[in-house]
Amino acid sequence: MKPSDTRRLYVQRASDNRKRIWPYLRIVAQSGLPIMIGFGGVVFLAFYANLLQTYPLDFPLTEIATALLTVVLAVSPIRTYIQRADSLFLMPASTAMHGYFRHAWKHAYARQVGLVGVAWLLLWPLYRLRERLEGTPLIEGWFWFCTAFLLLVKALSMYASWREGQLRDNGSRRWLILLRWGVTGSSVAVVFVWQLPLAAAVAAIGFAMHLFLISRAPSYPIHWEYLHVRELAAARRIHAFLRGFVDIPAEKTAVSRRRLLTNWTQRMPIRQAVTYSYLYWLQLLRTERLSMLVRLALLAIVVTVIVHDYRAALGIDILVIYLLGLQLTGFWRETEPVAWVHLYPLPAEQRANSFARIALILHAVLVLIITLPLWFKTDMPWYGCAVMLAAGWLWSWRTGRSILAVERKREKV
Amino acid sequence: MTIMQVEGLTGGYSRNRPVLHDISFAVRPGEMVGMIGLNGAGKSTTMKHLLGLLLPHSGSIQIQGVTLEEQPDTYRSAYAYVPEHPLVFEELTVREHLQLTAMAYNMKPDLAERRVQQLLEEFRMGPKADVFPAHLSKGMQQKLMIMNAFLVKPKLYLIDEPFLGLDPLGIRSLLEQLQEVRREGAGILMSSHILATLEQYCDRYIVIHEGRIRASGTLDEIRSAWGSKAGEHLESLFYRIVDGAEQP
Repeated sequence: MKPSDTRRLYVQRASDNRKRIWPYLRIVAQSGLPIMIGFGGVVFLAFYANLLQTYPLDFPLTEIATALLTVVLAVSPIRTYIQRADSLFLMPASTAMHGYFRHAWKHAYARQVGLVGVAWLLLWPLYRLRERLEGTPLIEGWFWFCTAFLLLVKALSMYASWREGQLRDNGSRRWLILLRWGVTGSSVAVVFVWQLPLAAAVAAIGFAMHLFLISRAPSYPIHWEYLHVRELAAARRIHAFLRGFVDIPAEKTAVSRRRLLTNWTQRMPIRQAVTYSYLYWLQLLRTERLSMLVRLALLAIVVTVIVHDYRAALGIDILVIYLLGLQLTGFWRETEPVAWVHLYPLPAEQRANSFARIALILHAVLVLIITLPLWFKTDMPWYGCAVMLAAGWLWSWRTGRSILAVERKREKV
Repeated sequence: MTIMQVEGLTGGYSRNRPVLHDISFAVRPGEMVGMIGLNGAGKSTTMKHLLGLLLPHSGSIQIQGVTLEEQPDTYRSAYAYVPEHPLVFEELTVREHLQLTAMAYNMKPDLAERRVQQLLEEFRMGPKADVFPAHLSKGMQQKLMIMNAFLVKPKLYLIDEPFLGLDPLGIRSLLEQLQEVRREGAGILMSSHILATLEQYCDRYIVIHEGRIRASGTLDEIRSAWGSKAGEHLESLFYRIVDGAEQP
């Protein structure tokens, strides 16, 4: 096998993947999501335009820019479409696989550079405005120097991330991921606090240290198993999103023990009535499903805390409350009944009822957590917050009902 | 008196192409019945019908005197099932699986706790009690399925190829448990390809071939029905039965 053959294989797999996803995306497009996102986008642009006109000197630009750019620079997933059987069938072609992986790398870089570009284009006018207001105008070509710096950091971060994937030991990998995030975050922060040359020095030293440490750790030329696990995780995230709209067969999900969150379930009484509640609480709390919900809620909280403006915060909160409901309904679609649940001597309707109750509780708690910063951190009056909370809880109730509706539809089929 | 009575069961995945044809047999209290047949003979389909995962095209299945349609909860609470391939919830530890089963079958908490402890010791799974299935070998996952079934102590055990992946000590523990519940009056229907073990432990046999019962009864009854000499082992008898030989 030649590198050009493996490259063709990558192109074929990427195309197959797109063809698999495309019909589902059409269903997503027909849902209310594009309208919701459009609404969120309009609210954000209104807030952004207002910010440019009335830029306050105490605006936390450094913090926002560091957080935003660190995320888009450090998160460096590379879709490889590696399958479990590849470790057997493609292993003999390991040397030719650089054609395959180089192509995967180029694709990922092109996509992620687009994201960096969007983030940077949003931040640049604010950065220039701040420097002008503070009386330190930027020199000619500063924008391009900074852009080149960010693209370079992105490339280094992606390369470092790729090398982390070759490591044999998970513990070393975790520490090096942490180091990479630290180096990326400090380089970006230095751009906004002290300027570019120092940031370049921090990035150069940090990434050199990272790559030196990696070169000392035991690694595989191609860590097939790890690449496959990463691939499954990527597919799982996409499917989890799509399941908010349509039935897709479930795949295995990564499990974490999370003692603090699940200890209380061990005190649930041994009663038939709580059987499915016990099962579904553990399934939600120990998997990526909970992480996805928490990430969404955190996004709403961070935006509210940063922007102070209640209109922008409200826009994001409404979008997040809607998405939380979608995700929870998607989780129900994902819980394809294992044979056991047909064998248990329990009423069939108990399953959906238990899950709907859990979804309602989880959604209502997250709505409360999202709404509190609206009250404390924005100028929204208390009764506005109360209306928002009530509307959010109404949506929690509706989420429970939509789960029961999904179940009724399933039964009919 | 029977625990399970199957009468004229015809069934399968499609009404146009039934896999099982007019199957009838019974399992009585304190009896272990071995269900044997080649791959694709219809054993798993029979098992799915007994579990209620497939509905009969015609005929009936009664467990404890009721059909699934009549009283689903009574029907289901009367049996425990050990599947051929472990069916586990990835998010639950071994102990939590047992806890879930105890909940589903409404066991008394102190009894459930005592039994869980006994089974963990019996199957040498104590050190793995708080481990997730992903970190268990296939044999250990199978032990988990077996412990689930024995936790409930129902009237009927439906056991599908239980020896796959089990180590010798696991097989011994399983057989000991089966003997114990049999002594206590439970009925057992066990499907397996390990004919020597079935011959040693089962009271009666059902040989399914191409979706029909080709032979049934005690070993002596089958021997005499198939004209074989005394002392012929189940294995060679089975080969003759499924090899196209005609019943004399």
